[in-house]
Amino acid sequence: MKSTRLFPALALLVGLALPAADPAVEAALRRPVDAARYPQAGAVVLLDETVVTLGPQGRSTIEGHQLIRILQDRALRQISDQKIPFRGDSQACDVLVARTHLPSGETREPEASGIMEVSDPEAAAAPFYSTARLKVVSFPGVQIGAVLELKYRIHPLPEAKDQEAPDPFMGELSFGGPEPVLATSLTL
Amino acid sequence: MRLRSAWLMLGLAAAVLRADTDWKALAARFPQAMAVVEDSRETFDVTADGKYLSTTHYRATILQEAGIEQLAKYGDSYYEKYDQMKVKRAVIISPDGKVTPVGPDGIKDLPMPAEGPFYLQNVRLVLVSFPQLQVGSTVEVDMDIRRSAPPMDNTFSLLETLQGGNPVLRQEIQVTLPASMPLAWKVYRGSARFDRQERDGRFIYRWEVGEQPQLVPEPSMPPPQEVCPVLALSTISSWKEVSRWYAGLSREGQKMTPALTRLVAEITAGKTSQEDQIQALYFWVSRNIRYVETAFTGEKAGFKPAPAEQTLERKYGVCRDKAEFLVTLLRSIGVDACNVLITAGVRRDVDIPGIQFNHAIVAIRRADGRFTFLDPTAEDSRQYLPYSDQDKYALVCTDRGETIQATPLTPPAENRMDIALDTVLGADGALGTKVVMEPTGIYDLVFRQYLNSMPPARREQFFTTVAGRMFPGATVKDLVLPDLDDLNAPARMSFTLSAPDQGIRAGDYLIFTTPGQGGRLDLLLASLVSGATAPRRKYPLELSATVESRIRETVRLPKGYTVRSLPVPVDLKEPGTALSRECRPVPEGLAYTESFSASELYFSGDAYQGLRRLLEKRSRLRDGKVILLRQGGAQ
Repeated sequence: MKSTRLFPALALLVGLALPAADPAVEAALRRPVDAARYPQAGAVVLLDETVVTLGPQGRSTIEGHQLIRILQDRALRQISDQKIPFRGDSQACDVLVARTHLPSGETREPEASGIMEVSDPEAAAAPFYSTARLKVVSFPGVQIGAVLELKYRIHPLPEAKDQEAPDPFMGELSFGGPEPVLATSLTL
Repeated sequence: MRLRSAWLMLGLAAAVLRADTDWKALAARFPQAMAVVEDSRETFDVTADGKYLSTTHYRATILQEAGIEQLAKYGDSYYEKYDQMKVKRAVIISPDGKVTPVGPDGIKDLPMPAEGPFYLQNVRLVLVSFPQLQVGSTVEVDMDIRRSAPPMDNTFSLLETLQGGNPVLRQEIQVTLPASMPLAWKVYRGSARFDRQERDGRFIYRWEVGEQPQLVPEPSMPPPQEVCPVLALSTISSWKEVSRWYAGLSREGQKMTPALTRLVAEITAGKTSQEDQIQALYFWVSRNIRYVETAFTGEKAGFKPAPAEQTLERKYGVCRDKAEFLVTLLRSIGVDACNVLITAGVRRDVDIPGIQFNHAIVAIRRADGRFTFLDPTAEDSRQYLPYSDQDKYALVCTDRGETIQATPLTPPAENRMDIALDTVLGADGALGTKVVMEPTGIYDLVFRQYLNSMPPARREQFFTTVAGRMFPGATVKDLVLPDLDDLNAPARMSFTLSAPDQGIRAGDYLIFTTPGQGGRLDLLLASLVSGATAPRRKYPLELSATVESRIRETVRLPKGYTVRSLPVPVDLKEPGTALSRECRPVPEGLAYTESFSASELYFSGDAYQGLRRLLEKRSRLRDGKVILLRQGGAQ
C-alpha cells in the first residue's frame, strides 16, 4: 500500500526536477546562438528531428521533435502557435512534450486549452479535405530568447482500416526553411 | 388525426409545386445574378431565460455557372458545449425537377477550421455540401439550432441584414417570446410587413420582406450592414443595461496579484506622470500579449474575458482578454479604466440596444467625464485608437451603465505622411534623391505592420521594387529604418534613390519631372483612394481614415542651367478634400511643395465627384515638367 502511494509521488518529483532530461535537448538548449550572426532571422531552429516508422498496409508513425529559439518579435507572433497537420479519419496526433523554456531557465507548459485540435482551413473549402486536421499548440509565456520545445507523434488510429492497396511510401522533407536550422535529421 | 393528414398532404403538394422552379424565367429576370434566394425563413422560439430554438429554411437556385460554387456549400457553427445543431433536410432539385437528398457523406460536423489566429477547439461547423450541381439546380436546407447559453441572460436580440450578394424573392423572420419579454424593433433603410399574434401567453412577431435586389459591391464601399436594409430587434431595455451587464461579466477577472503588481512596477519605472505610465502600459500590452484565441471559455462564450492573471501567465489572448488585462493594470495605478464593446470596421445602427459587437477595447474616464479610447489589440499602433475603431459606436461598460457613443475621428494632420526629398539633377539627366518619410497615425501603423512582418533583406527589396516602378532603372541604397518594435519613436524611414536618364535633353534644353510630384512615393494614399475610379456610385466611397500627404522637395540644378518653365501652381478645395502645389525658384535651385488632405470618411454625391476631380488632378501633377535652358543656349 505504501509503495503504491510513494511511486506516483516520486514520479512527480522526478518530473519536476528534470523537465528537459533528454541529452539532445539539454545540448540544444545550451548551444549558444549569436543573434548577430543571423541578422535576417526571426528565430533559429536548434533541433529538428523526424522519425518515420513504416508499418504494414501504410500504417506509419511519425514522431517529430523541435526546439526553436525566438530572436525577434516577428517570429514570436508568427511561430508561437505551432501547427501539426494530420488526417483525422485515420490518424491521431499526440503532443508528447510542449514546453516554453524561458531565458531565466524556468519552463512553462500549455494549459489544456492551449493544445487544440481544429480542422485545417481547407476543410471548409471542399468536402474532400473535411478530415484534414491541425493539432495546434499555443505556447505560453513566450518572449525573446525563449525556446519552444515540441515533441509529437502522429500514429494510425486503431480502428482505421488498413489501406487495401497502400501506396508506396513517399514523402518530402525540407532540411531548410524560412529560419536558419542548426541541426536536423530524418530517421526512416 | 384526419386533419393532420390533410395538412401533411397539402404540405406535400406545396413541396412538389415548389420543386418546380422556372429557373430560366428567373435568369431572365435577374441577368446580373449568379443565383437567386427564393425563400429564406428563420424562426426563433425564445424562453424567458434567453435560450432559444431556431429553425432555418433556405432555398436557392443557380442561374449562372459562377453560382454553382456559391451554392455548393451551406453551413453554420455552434458552441459544442451548449448548443445543438441538426440538419433536418438537405436536397438538390435538378432542373428537370428530380429531387435528390444529400446523403450522410454530404453533411459534415467538423471541428471549426482554423482561421488566422483563431483556433476555436470547442466550436463546430456543420457543413452541407451539394454535389453535382448545374445551372438551374435548386438547393434546399432545413436546420434546427438550439442555443442554450445566451450571452446576456433573460434577453434576446438580433441584428439581421436583409440583403445579400444574390437577389432574395422572399424572406421571413419570426420570433416567439413570452409576454413578459417586451420587444423593440426597427427596420433600417427599408421596410417589412409586420404582424404580431398572441397565442398561449406568448407573442409571435413576424416580419416578411418581399423581393430584395442583389447587392452589387462597389470598391471601397461601406460594409453591407451600413448600406443594406437591416432588421434590429431586442428585448433589452437600454444600452445602459448592456453596459452594466458587461461590466459585471468582466469585473471578476480584474484582480491584481503580486506578479501583476511587479509587472506594473517594472513597466512604469521612471515614468513620473500618469500619462507616461498609461502610454507605457498600453504599449507593453499591445506588444507583449500576442493575439490568439484558443477556445470559447465559459458559458458566456465570446464575451467573458480571461482573468488578467491568466493572460499574464499565457502572454496571449484575444481582444477581450487584452482589454481586460490593460484595464486591470491601468486601475492599479489609479486610472478610471473600463472595458468597452465596439463594432470595429462597421458603423452600426444604434436605435435598438443589442449585444452584436465584434471587438473589445478600453476606455479611460478623464476628469471632465469624457473618455479616451485605447485598443491594445493593435500590436503596431502608436495611436491609442487605430483607424478601424474610429467614428464607430462604442459602449463603455460601467456599473452605473453608459449609453452608446461614437468614438472620435482623428483629424488628417494626425494621419499624415511627410515626405522630404533632397534631389540633385545631373546635366546628363540623372536624378539622385535623398528621401525621408515621416509617417504618423495610419501611415505609421501600416508601414510598421507591413515591414515588421518580413526579414530585413526583404524590406530593402520592397523599397527597391517601389522605386523601380516609379522611376525605371532606379536603385535604392542607404535604407535606414527605425526599430519597428519600438512604439515610442515614429517609423521614420530614409533612403537614397538614384535614377538614370530621368531628364530629357533637347538641344540646349533639359526637361524633367521632380520625383516628388503627384505623390508617387505615397503608396498608402494611392491604395486608400483606389476605389474612386468609377464615374458614378450607388454607395458612398469610404476611406479607411482621414489622411494628409505633404511633400517638400528641394531640387539642385546642374550648373550652367537656368529655369525657363515650371509646373503651374494648384490650389483646389472640394467638400472634405484639398489639393495644393507650388514649384518656385530658390537660390539653391527649386522648391517644390504639394499637399493633399481628406478630412471626411464618407464621400457620396457632389463630395464624391469633388474627390474624383482632385484625385485626377493630383495624378496629372506627375506630368508637371520643369524646363531648363543651358546658359548661352538658343532662346
